[in-house]
Formats: sequence, structure tokens, C-alpha cells
Amino acid sequence: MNDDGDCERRGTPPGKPDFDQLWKVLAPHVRAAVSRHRSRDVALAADDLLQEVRIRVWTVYSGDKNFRLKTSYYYKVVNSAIIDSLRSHRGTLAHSVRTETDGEEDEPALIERIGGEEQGPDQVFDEQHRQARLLKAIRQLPADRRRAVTLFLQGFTVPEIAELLGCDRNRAHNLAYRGVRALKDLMGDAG
Amino acid sequence: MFRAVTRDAGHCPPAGSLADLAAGRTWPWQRRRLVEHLSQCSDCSDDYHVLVTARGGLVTALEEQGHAGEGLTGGWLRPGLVAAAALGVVALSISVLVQSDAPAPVSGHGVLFASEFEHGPGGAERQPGQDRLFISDFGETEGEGGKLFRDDFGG
Repeated sequence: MNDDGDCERRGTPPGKPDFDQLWKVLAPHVRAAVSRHRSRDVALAADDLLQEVRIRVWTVYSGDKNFRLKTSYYYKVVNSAIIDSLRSHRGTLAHSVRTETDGEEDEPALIERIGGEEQGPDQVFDEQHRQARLLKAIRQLPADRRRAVTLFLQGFTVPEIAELLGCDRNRAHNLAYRGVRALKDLMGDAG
Repeated sequence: MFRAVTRDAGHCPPAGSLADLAAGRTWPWQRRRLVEHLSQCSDCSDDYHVLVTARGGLVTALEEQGHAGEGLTGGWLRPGLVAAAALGVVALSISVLVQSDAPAPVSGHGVLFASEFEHGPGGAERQPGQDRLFISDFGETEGEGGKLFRDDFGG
């Protein structure tokens, strides 16, 4: 069967790609990105997220009768759907972990595991003290370095920092490197 | 440790804003504001990482699906460029109109009329000889030889 006949049968205007075909090429990229960055998040099943994104894209696709929407619009729809889905799943991690471990682990082992993870009051105090020192040291950095360092600490790479700050990679590298060094000095002085 | 502190910073930007940032479709001041938030919010940073990772594949896949040749950047820049060009043409036209409204250069034959500097209703109806200020003697047959200018006020 040729493409036109297939399109007519499915009610798709000629020239407009079939939705299944469109989704077939989009889904692997969404799944790969989610799996890479959110694999630790047990609550976030990639299949659930994909399904939500698919519904959003389908809603836009079905309303696009003449296939006039641009690539950039579809791209924005996919991205917005991903973010919304990630945000909606956030915060359900604890419940999911408890559900998955129930029945698979005996009670003493579970108590021991939970007890082992819990910090004592002195550890909590030390941790809070270190956090406060770190934040204070970061606030002392010049604005450019502070931005580069905080992005670096958030896990962004130098090319990503350069893109976000709108500068070249050398400058981003220098800002991050010198910022981290200054941060170490400040933390050392404060400690 | 830093990420633990900055988790759930609150007041997160809408999903569309992060999507625009990932697509490079933000104004510089918007980008500064979003980047500032990303540096302070681990949750949004994680979400943004997902978008950046998926970006290359998604754009290529979308462009191959019937939008060949319509790049993401081109689609965004084209209306902007057209608007900027139109604004430029309008600004140029206005400046030309303003220039043409200025006093015209001295008319020919070396005669300077006062009415050329007046924009009253009678300015266009020039009476020969009534408002003549100076007459050039360069190449003029009228006038006395040796005098460069002669005024009509007895000078």
C-alpha cells in the first residue's frame, strides 16, 4: 500500500506524517534521556512518563489539521510535557520504594537498614554547619564566578555552562575553575 | 552537599520557560533569570539535564518528519529577522521624511528669498522683488559691477 492510501485510510492529510511514525522516532530519545538522568528515581517509570508525553504530543498533533505547526513548536510541546511529567512524579519516591520493598525484606533487616541510614544529632549538626559555610562562601564569590560554580556544582558540564552563560568554553572553564579554587580557599579559611 | 541544600528551591519557572531555554528561544534577560534559578534549584537542573540530553535526537527526528530544511533556529529567527528588517525600513523612511521637511537649500540663480525660511501660508506665493534679501553678482547681468551683494534696504 502506498503512503497516500495509507494516509487516507488513517484520516491523515497528505504530507502529514503518521503519528505512530512520528512517535516511533521521538520516543527513544525521550526514554534515553529520562533513563540516563532519572534512573535513580524509582518512582519515575519511564513508561509512565512516555505515555504522558505521548498524550500531549497527540493532542497537539490531532489539532494540527493542515500540518502547519513548526518543528520548534513540536519540540517545545515535547519538552514542556517532559518537564510537567517529571514534576508531577516528583515526591512519590518514598512511597514507591516502600511499596517495592514491602514483602521482599524481613522486618529485622528492614529496621537495621533504616537505622543504619539515619544520622545522629551530632552528624546532622555538622552537616548543617558545613552547608551553611558552603553557602556563605558561595555568596562571597563575584557574580560571574558564583553563577559558573553553582552551575558546575549542579552537575552541568563546561560546554553546558558556556551555553547557559552565553560565553565561550574557555571563559566558562576559567570561571568555573577559578571559582572552585576560590571556594576551596574560602572554605579552608572559614574552617 | 550543595545539591542537597538547593533541592526544591521553590518558585520554579513554568515548564514552557525551561523548554524555551533548551531550544535557545529566550531573550538574554530571560536566560539570565532562568540560569540563576537553575544554579539555585537542583530539581530544575535535573529536569533541564533531561531536555539537553534529548535535544539533539529530538530535533533531528522532528526535522526528518516532514519539516526538512526547517531548522529549529531558522524557524525561530525568521520572524524576528523580518520584523527587524521592517523596523529598519520604517525608521529609515521616517528619518528621510524628517530630513525633507527641513529648509530647502537656497534656490537657484543666486537669489536668496526670505520666504524660503518661512513656513507660513503665504510662503509658497512668492512675490518677485518683495522679499528679496541679496542678489549675487557672480555671473548675474543685473546689478552693478564690482558689488558682490546689494540689499533692498538701502544698503
